[in-house]
Amino acid sequence: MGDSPITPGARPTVLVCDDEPVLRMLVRATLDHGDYTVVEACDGDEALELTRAEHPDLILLDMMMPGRSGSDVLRELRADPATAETPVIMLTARAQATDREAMNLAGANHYLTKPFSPVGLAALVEEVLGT
Amino acid sequence: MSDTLGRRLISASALLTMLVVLIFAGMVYAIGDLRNAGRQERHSEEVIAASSAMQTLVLNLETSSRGYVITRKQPFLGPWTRNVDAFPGQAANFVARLNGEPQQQQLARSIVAGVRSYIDDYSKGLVATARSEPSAAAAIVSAGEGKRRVDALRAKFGTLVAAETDLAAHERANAEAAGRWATRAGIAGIIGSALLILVFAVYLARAIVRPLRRMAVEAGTLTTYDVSVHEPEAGRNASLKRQNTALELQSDGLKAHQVTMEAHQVTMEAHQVTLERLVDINRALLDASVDGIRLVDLEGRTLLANSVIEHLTTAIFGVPKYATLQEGSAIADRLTDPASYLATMETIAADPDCATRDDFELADVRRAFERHTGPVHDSAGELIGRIIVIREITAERDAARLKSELVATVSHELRTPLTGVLGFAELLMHHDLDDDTGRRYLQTIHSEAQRLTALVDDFLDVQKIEAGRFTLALESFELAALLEHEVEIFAAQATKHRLEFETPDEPLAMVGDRNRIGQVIANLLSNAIKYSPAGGAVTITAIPREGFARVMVSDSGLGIPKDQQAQVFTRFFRVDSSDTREIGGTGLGLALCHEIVTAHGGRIGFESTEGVGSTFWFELPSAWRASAADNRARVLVIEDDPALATLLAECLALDGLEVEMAAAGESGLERALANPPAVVCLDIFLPGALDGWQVLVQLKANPLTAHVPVIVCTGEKGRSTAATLGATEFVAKPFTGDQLREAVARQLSAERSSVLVVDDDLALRRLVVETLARDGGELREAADGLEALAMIAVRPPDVLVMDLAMPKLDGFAMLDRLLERAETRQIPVVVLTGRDLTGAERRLLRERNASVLEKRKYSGDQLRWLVRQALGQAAEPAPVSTRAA
Repeated sequence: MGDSPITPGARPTVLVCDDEPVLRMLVRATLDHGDYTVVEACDGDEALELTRAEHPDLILLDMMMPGRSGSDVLRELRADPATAETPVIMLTARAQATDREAMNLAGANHYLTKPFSPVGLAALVEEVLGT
Repeated sequence: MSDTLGRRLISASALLTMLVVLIFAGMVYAIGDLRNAGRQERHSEEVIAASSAMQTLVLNLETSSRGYVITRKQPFLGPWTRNVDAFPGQAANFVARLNGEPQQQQLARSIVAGVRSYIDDYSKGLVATARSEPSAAAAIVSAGEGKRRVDALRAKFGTLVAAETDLAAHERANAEAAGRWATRAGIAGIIGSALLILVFAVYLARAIVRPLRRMAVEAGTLTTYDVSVHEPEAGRNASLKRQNTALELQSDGLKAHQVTMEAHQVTMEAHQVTLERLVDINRALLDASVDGIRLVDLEGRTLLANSVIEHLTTAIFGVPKYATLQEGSAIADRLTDPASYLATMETIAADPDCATRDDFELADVRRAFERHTGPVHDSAGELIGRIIVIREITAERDAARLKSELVATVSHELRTPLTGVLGFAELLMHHDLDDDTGRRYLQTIHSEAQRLTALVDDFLDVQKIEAGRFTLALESFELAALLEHEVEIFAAQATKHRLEFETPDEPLAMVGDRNRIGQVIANLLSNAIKYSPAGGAVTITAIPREGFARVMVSDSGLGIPKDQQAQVFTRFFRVDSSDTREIGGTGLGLALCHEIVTAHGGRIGFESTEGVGSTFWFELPSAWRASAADNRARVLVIEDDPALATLLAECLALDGLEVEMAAAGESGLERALANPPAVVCLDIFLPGALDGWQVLVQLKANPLTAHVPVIVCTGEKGRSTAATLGATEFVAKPFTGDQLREAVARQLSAERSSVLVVDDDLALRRLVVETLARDGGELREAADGLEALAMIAVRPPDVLVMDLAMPKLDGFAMLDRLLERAETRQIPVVVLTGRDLTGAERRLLRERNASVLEKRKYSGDQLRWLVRQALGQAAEPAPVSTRAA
């Protein structure tokens, strides 16, 4: 993950996909200080669309969403060679073992349980992207 | 000597033979009689069948011609033409059958003439008129000539059938008498012959064998002694007399024995009656169980099974009724977990003395069952078989599943706003932010905290309802103003949606809990906005209807899938598919709305098309153009046969009932849920995806309709199934209109009592009347004490529900006036008051045995309970917080 193809000097793009506006607002408030470009998607379909258009360096993906769920989106991302290696952090409101197992199976890199700390999120993003 | 003996023997034999021949001749004659009567009875049955066919023909003609006139639909003409064509043949057959009694024959000819006249002079003309001049035909139908003619014919049919039945009954009685006589004569004859043969045998012995033996002895003696031989004649006569006496004695003994035997038989019969009664009770006990119970022997063969398990095995498990335990295992293929089911079967096979408990689920129909089995021993301790008890646990399993899903949902719902609150607070702490950003973060924290509060409130409300502590603070208010207020709040938030608001010009005055109604409106609005795509329109319409105000909230959103519509108002229900979470919400909002609206004596419902949108509506009792309560009970008839449905509707309309029709299970269910009727008449064989049983199950499972009595009308043998699934009555087809009317009347009169509601506030009266209307019964209204007294003078009600503060004559003055007359002194009173009572007033009401309900702690359930209690009908305990004065 550290060797993600990030052009030095360019700001990494982070895509956040969550149906709750307040969650997207929080992620933007945490990361959008000049270090990252934050792109928002409010459901799974929009996330896949934006991934193809924007080629984000990191995706933050909510687990439970109307329509396509987070795990569905992740499965599609992993099935597509263009996004198979893109790091994904899952956001989940349920932190039960079954969810984590499902996440590992589908190939997420990390997960954060809601409520999460913005400072912790910033640190995790930094670690994943090696910035 | 031998000559006399020979003559005697011959004459005795002849006598005996004659006797036996006579007995048999009698029996043969009686049997002939019996057969003759049987023939006559069969003939009567044929006559009745022919008469019934003829009657059906007439009814078909009337129904189809009437159907054609009313609906002007061609399909009604088919049966009419068929029946007109069939008439000559049937008439000939009918008259031919009646070749016996001249009187009956004459009646039959008069019926045929009547039918011919009905067809030629009325029906043909009517159909011809209907073709050319429909309105004239309708006028003819409503003039009722056809009905009069058919009724007259029916009366004749009735006389014919009654006479034929009498004839048959008479023949049967004769035959039975002949049969009895034959049996008695046969028995008496056989006993008599046996006795005669016995006497004859003894006589033979005495008359021939003994004298021969004596002669031999005497011959021997003669060689020794030369004694003159006594004439033996006199001695023999004496010995015969002795023997006769002995025989008579013996016969007396036999008779005594017979009397004892008969006494024994009477005792045996009494025992048998007791035994049959015991078997009946056991059977009823078994059938009354909600569990399926089966007793099998050691080979797995059924010894005993109740109706529940018979239904389960045949209708649901799809195995033969009396399948052995091993054959029953075939259902393993249909289970979600066949291995565990088969493992239990193996455990049982390995140890016949073990007890087992397991559950299984049918994968195809998603129904779950719990199974207990255990060894059964007889009184000697010998193992005789195994008892199997099967209970359906689908509802319990679903409830448990819903609960655990709720825990997950609650966790999610709480965590989302918490993330906002904690996250933004942390950002505020760790970053130096400009004032604007800081304020924005604080605003977000505030609104997320409010969201948490709303969520907690919802849960608390649900808790209150579950604990029976849900009360309303009644006040008068204007519905349109409240709607406007709520719409304004939402318009500020929902910037991406268009909110369209329409209210009538007139005010919609009503009485209710303003905050709770506001909660309902907010809930429906927030759902509509949540489910609509950005840019979509949400329309809020308020329209006055007679005695009601109706509010509709329409969205252009996702809609609700058909298969989930029945559960929308169920607690914890959320539109859901696989692991996808619905948009926000706790799954409690609509359940709460339902509770609030029904607590106000109102109704709530929706129409929804998946992918197009939904319209949720609720109706609350309102003062708007309210007329006195229309108490006409509404009956919903779910029947696919149009002819039968029309007949039923006409029949029920005779009793002044409002009749609603549905031709299929789905439409019937939809109507019942949209507006729960007083009674449902349900056919079982219905076209479409839902049969009658499924409709019944869904009606009983839905809180909106669970209390509505259902009368199952079917030809299928389903009485016990109907009872098991919660039907109140069962009417087997073919049934008469009167049978159905009686069944419906029984259901309606179950709690048909008279209540007088006295309050000067029309809106409050509407609320009370609509709330009490759910229990059925007559409801009258009066606007003040004087009007109430006048109405009571005409006919005293069973219960009086009254306000205390009223113009003209207030509540206390009215109670005083009621005390003056003996017939009004005992009327139970429920006081509904908005003011605080003084100690003296409370004492007064207590002395009058009045119960008190305060308007600020109003609960519809409590009011209904108080009225039921006053009527002496309340069997269940009071809802929490009921207080008598």
